[in-house]
Amino acid sequence: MLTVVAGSLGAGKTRWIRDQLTAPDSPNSPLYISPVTVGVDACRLRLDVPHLQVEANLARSMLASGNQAIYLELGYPLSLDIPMLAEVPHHRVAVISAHCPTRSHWEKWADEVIINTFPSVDADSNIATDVWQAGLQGQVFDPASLQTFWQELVQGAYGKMMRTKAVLELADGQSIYIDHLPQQETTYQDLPLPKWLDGRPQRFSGIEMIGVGLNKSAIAATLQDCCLTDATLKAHQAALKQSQNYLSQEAA
Amino acid sequence: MKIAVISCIHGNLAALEAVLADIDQQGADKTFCLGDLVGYGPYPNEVVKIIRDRNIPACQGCWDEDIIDGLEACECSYPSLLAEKRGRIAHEWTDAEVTAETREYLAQMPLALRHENLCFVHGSPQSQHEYLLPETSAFLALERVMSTGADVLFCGHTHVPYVRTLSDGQLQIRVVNGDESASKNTSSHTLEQQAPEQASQTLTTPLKRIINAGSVGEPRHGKPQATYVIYDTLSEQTSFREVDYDYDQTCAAIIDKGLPPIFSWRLSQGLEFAEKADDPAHICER
Repeated sequence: MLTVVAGSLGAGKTRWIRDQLTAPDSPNSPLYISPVTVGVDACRLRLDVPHLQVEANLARSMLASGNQAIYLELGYPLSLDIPMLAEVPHHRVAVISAHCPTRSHWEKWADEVIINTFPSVDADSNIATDVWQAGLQGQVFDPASLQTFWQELVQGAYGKMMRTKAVLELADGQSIYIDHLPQQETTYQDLPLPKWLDGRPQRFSGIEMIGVGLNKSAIAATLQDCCLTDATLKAHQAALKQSQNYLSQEAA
Repeated sequence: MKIAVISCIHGNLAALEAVLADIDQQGADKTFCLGDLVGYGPYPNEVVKIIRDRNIPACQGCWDEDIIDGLEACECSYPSLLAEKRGRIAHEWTDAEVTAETREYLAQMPLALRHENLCFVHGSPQSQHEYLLPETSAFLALERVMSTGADVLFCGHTHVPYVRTLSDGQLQIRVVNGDESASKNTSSHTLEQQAPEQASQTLTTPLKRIINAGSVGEPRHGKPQATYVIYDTLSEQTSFREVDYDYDQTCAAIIDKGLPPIFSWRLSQGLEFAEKADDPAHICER
């Protein structure tokens, strides 16, 4: 069965899908489709649902077995009218916030409306929005630089930000999730992954953002300036390993 | 006597002009400048010319020194990779922009100025690059003031204005040989018995004060207004001044002159161009 999930920015679409996938009667081999994204949500879902299959290609995923539980998350700015869906039986779920100004629009589109209390953002269809995303696998960030960049990003130095989320690797080997919606504190979360202390991390990291008038080249350049070079990464990792060895010797 | 103390102008001409106008309005008898005339901002030569033409005594800041001696940073100069990258861009731009006349002026600036019981430095008496933060240990802060022989030490560099009073100042210096210092649990009584020859000296000092003048051209107090201080030598009162100026003019010049546009945005938000060191325990190794 295919479930198509859409809704406002930050209303909790991915969270709703995760709840379905972790429920006691959850499907055995679910498939998650997240087209046109580098995969930040998919990365987080996989941490909670390790057996989850992930597919970014919408057409290919439509060929999946009819019995398989498939969740298609339509992130902004994907159109809700996907011709391909007309040929596939599906259930439409809209996830919106309690004060969503376009609630009637979602109620008209969806078979089921989930109303959350999280504050969310509705993209104004009259304003041209920008989407920028980047896969960052292998890049490791200097935390102090990242903090400065993030402050600038969410305060509008590179355009008006509507939603930003990222999975990033830090110099201490920790992988973190960062999430920001306007007028809210940025959420930082250490991901339950082992610290990567040998060379450049060979696991997913990436950033996705939606905004208005985004200066994409400045964002990309600044992000690059926050990253450790091979030499600094090597020095960091050597120091961390030495510290770990010292601590284990102390414990012994 | 009413004195005005300005610091950290960073090539921000509009801010300097507004502050000097405010100083005139306040009726200050004398103005002192704590350096960092150049760096980050778009008008290094013009700022130096005003300071020179007005005969404002000025000591050398870290940016002024870097333009003369080149970059040789301690880790506190650049607390992040991004700050380092931006700092280097600003340094290279400024280095290419300054005239021979400006360079000559920056090179002859003294490291400290004295006026009666007042001392004026950029960072600390130790170095133009050292941060005397409000959280810096009282011991270190007192040592720095006492090393000058002054009662009031004016500094800048942090860009955040503050007054710190060090009352009942007492420094105790005791020289202990290696074996004794390794014995951490030895009581002072026992120590005295074991090492009667050790040198010990206690210095007691009347109230000392550190006054940070903030920044004219690159405020870090969350607002774009220029800051400086007025100090009355008779009443020993300090007044912090916040001065409005046309920062849009400086922001536009930053972009026009080819400096990174992010400097313009940060200035308009009352954020520093590059973040400062924030470890009060750090001793600058420059």
